[in-house]
Amino acid sequence: MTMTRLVKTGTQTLVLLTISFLVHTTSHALPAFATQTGQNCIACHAGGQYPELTPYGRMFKLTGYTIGERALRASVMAIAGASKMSNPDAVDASIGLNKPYKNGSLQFETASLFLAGKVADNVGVFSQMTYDNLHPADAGGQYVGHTTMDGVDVRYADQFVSEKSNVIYGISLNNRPSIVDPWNTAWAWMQYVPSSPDRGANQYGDGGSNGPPYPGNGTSAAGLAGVSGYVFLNKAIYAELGLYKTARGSFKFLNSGSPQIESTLRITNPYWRVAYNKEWGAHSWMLGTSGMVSHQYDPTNATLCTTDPTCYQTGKVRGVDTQYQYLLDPHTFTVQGTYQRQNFDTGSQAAGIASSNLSIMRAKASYVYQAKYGGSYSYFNVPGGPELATQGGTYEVFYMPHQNVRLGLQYTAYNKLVSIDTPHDANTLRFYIWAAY
Amino acid sequence: MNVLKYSATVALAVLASACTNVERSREFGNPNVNGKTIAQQVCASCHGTDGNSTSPEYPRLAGQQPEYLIAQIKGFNQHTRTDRLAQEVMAGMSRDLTDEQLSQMAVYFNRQKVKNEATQAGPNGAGKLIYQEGMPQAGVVPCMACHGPNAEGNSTFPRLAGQHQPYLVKQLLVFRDTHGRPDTPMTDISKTMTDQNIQNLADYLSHLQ
Repeated sequence: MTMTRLVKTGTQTLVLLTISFLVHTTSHALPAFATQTGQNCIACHAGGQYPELTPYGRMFKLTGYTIGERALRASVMAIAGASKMSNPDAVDASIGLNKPYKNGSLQFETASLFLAGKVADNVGVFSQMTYDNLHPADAGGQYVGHTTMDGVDVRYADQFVSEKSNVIYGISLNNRPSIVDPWNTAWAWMQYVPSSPDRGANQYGDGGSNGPPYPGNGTSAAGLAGVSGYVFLNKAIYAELGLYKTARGSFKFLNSGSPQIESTLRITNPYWRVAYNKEWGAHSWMLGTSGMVSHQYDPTNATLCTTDPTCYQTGKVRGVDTQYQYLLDPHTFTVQGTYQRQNFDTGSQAAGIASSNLSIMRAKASYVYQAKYGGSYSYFNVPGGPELATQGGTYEVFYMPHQNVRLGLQYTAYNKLVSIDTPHDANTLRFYIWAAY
Repeated sequence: MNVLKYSATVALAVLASACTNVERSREFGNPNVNGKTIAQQVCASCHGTDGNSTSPEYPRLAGQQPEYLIAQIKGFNQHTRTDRLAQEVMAGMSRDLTDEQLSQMAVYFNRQKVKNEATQAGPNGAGKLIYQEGMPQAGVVPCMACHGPNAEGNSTFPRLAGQHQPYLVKQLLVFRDTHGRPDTPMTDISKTMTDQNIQNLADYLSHLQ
C-alpha cells in the first residue's frame, strides 16, 4: 500500500466514525425501524446482534414492518476493518487473491443506505443499497468502489386475531429468494454481520453469503425480481411461495449494480419454504425446509442463448434449516444450522457446462450478555470448486459500547481450502468497527 | 401475461389501495385506532393475545389491575420507570397513545383470564410466609397488605398471582438494587430482602392462580 492510499483510507475511516459519533451525540438518530417503533435494537434483534431476530422481531417483519409510526426513513451503516492473513503469499500463489491484497491495514469496507419504514397501515418497506469499497480489482489491479441494490422487500401484510387463532398473511415484492424469511437461517440471511466482502480479508472462499439458489452465480442471489406470498398460522406454521425472474423493465431498479448476464433467469422460477415454529418459556425453536427450481442462461454461451428459449441450465436447490433461541435478559443464546443440496442440470442446449452437485452446510452458535458482550463460533463447509470443499470455522468476540456501534475480532481457521495444500496459510485474524445510524 | 408480471401488478394494486385499516392497525400515532386493536395487534406479540405471555421476559398482563397498567405505561413514556428494558423496549411504544387508548388496552387485558401452567406445583412455604406475614425482624411488611390476600392486586398495586417467576425476581431486584423504579414503596420494602427471600416469594406468587 502506498502512503497516499493509506492516508486516504485512514482519513475516510476517521471521517466516517467521527460523523457517526457526532450524529449520535447530537440528535440520538436511530436506524429507521428503531425510530419508527421507538424501541432499541434489542427489541427485534437477539441480544442486539444482526441479523438474528427475536420472536417479536419476527412478528415485526411478518406484519410487514408496520408496527409503530407511519414514516419512511433513511439510515446508514458502515464497516471498517483490518485483516491479517497467516501467509497471503502462499495462498496467492496457489489460488490467487484479489489484487491488491490489503493484508493488515485498516480499510473502509462497505457502507449501506437504508430506506425503510411503515408506509400505510398494512404496507412497509425494507430496502438496502450497499457501496462496496473493496470490490474485486479492475483490469489495472486496483480495488474499485461498486454500488449494488442489496435487498429490497416491499410488503403488504395483515393479521387476524381471535381468541383461538392468529393468522398473518403477506405479499412481498422483493429482489432475493428468502429475503422475506422471518428467521435468519434462510439463504439470504445466515451470515456474519458484519462480514467482509473481500474474499482475501475474511472467510476466504466463503464470503458472507449462503450459496446460490440458482446455478452459475457464485455466492449471490441478487439481481432478481419476485413476488412472494406467505402465511403464518398460530405462530407455529409458516409457508411461503415465491416466483422469481431476472429484474427487467420497470423492475430493473431491483437489479441495480448486479452483472446482468450472471443473473439472468429464464421463465418464472419458483421458490418455496415451509417451517414449524415453537415457543415455550424463554425458548423458541424452528425447523424448516426450502427449495428453488431455477432456469438460467448458460453465462458462457450468452449470445446463442439470447434467441433460444430452451437454452438454460436447470438448478434444483433443497435445504433444511433450524434455529434455537434462548432469550431472557441478560442472556441471549442462539444456535442456527442450515444444509443445502444443489443439483444442476445443464440440459442438452447449454453445451460446455458440466452438471454438478454441490452441498453447503453452515452452523453458528452465539451468546450475548447484556446486549453488550458477545461471542460466537461458526462452522462452514461450502463448495470451493466442482469437487472440492472449503471447510473451517470462525471464532468471534465482540463488544457493543452502544447499540449503534460494535467492535469485533474474528479468527477464521481453515481445514480445507479449494485446491490449496496448506489451508492454514489462509487463516485470518480480522478486526472490525461497525456503526449504524 | 406472464405470471410474475401479473402477480407484481396485483401486489402493487393491493399496496396502493391499502392506506388505512383501522380495525387491524398497528399504528401508534392514530387516535382513531381502538386500544383493544393495539393490544391485539402489537402488545400481543410479546404479552400474548390473551395477556398470558409465553416468555418470562415479558410479564403476564391477564387480569392485571387497569390502574396499574396505565400508571406503568405512563411511567415508560415519562421516563419515571428507568429500568433498562422498560426504556429500551417500552418507552417508545407508549409515546403516542392517548388516555382513551390506554384505558381501552388496560380494560382489555384486565378482562383476560390468567392461564398459569405452573399451578400444579406446590406453593413455596417460605415465600407464602413472607407474603402473608412479612419479615418483621427485617422490617419487611406483609405483601398482602397492599396486593391483597390472593395477590390479586388493588388499583395501582399490581396483581402478582400467576406472574412469571423470573419476571417477579427481576423486578424485585430492580427495586432492591437499582433506582429504576423509584416511585413505589417497594424500594424500602425490598432493601433488606435476601436473594433467597426473593426467590421464595417469587416462586410462591408464580404458582398462585
